[in-house]
Amino acid sequence: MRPPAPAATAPLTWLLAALFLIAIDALITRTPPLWSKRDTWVKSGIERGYIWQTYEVARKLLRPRRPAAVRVEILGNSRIEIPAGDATVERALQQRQPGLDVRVDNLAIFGAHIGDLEIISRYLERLQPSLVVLGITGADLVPTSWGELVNATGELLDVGWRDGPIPPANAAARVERWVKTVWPLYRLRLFVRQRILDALSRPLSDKRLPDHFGSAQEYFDFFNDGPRAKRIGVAYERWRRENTLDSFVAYLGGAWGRLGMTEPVPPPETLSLDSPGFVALDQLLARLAAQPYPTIVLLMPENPLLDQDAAGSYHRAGFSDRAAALIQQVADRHHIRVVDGRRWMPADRFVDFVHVFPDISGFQDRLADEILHALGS
Amino acid sequence: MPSAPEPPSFGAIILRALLYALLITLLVVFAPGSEHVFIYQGF
Repeated sequence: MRPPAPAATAPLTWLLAALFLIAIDALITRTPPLWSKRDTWVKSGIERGYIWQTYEVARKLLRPRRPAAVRVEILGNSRIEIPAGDATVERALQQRQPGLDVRVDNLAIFGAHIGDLEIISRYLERLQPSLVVLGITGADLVPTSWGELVNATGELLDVGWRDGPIPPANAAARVERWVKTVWPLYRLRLFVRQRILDALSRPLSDKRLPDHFGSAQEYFDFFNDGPRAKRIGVAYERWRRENTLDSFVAYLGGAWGRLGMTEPVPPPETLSLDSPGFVALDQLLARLAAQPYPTIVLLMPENPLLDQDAAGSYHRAGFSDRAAALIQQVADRHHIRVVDGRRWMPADRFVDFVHVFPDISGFQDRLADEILHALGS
Repeated sequence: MPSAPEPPSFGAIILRALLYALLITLLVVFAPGSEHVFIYQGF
């Protein structure tokens, strides 16, 4: 009797393996077990934190929430991620227009710079936006110690056959992008891994970020343990009473050194329309301007306490104005409206020098007004 | 003169193909990669 040939080397085996791989890929990447997590992942280590951020965005891009007559897509980083939560902005819109059938997708990622936003924008078409809000500051257009123009968070979703405005660092990165383009499981593998590890370990510290905060103390309580949250609350109240730059710095935990409390940006005179960040902005706005839906660029609020920083200890004087002027020039090329929100918020609405509080800051109200204006409502 | 081996059974091919697909999936999901990023922690 003749022995059977080994199945391992049969061409049919590899053909079937490829088919199984496609089936397993779809089973993993298109079903609820991967996409059902709604809690924040921020309390169990920064590695999970950054994956969580992009996971939230990927879920909204690849498994859109409920259909709605009006769909507002928000791009940006933590400056707009924190105060413009989906439900918070939807509520503000519906307060102004009761019965408005609107869905807001906040697609911001902590630490994102302009290259990350450009990557996210490649997916927008599938959401069929009614409006895109690009919430940025000048610091998002330059590489700093807080982030490159493209960061690991954005790279997780990087797809496409052609290079974007920020070319890949090397040929290997380009090939990896191609693999991500054709193989969803490869693109989403960190999310899959984290969901498997979650299922095995059940991290108890994860919890859903509330849609509503009644006070600053509630916010501190959510992100910190009891004694620390109380200490922060006491320091915050002291700052509110004294209302000085020094007491605000003390509330934040003391001086962090020159420019340590705001993004350490370069001197304003180094900014130019030819720099990679502004070229990326130009290409992003060109793409958005070619779409049938409107786009607005929102210059994010800046803490007016920095006006007291005459010594330049905590910020780079002149950078914001120079960057805003250049952003306006780029937007004008594409007939896109720029909303200057840099002075929208008084100092007591800020968590720190960079971010405003969610909900209690009222940022969502100003944003809702601008959204309705842009929609022509 | 040795005779040519019989073709493998279809069941063996299916099992082997499934094994390959699962192994590749596990490799892709758990292979280490560059996963470090700075995220502002001040807030």
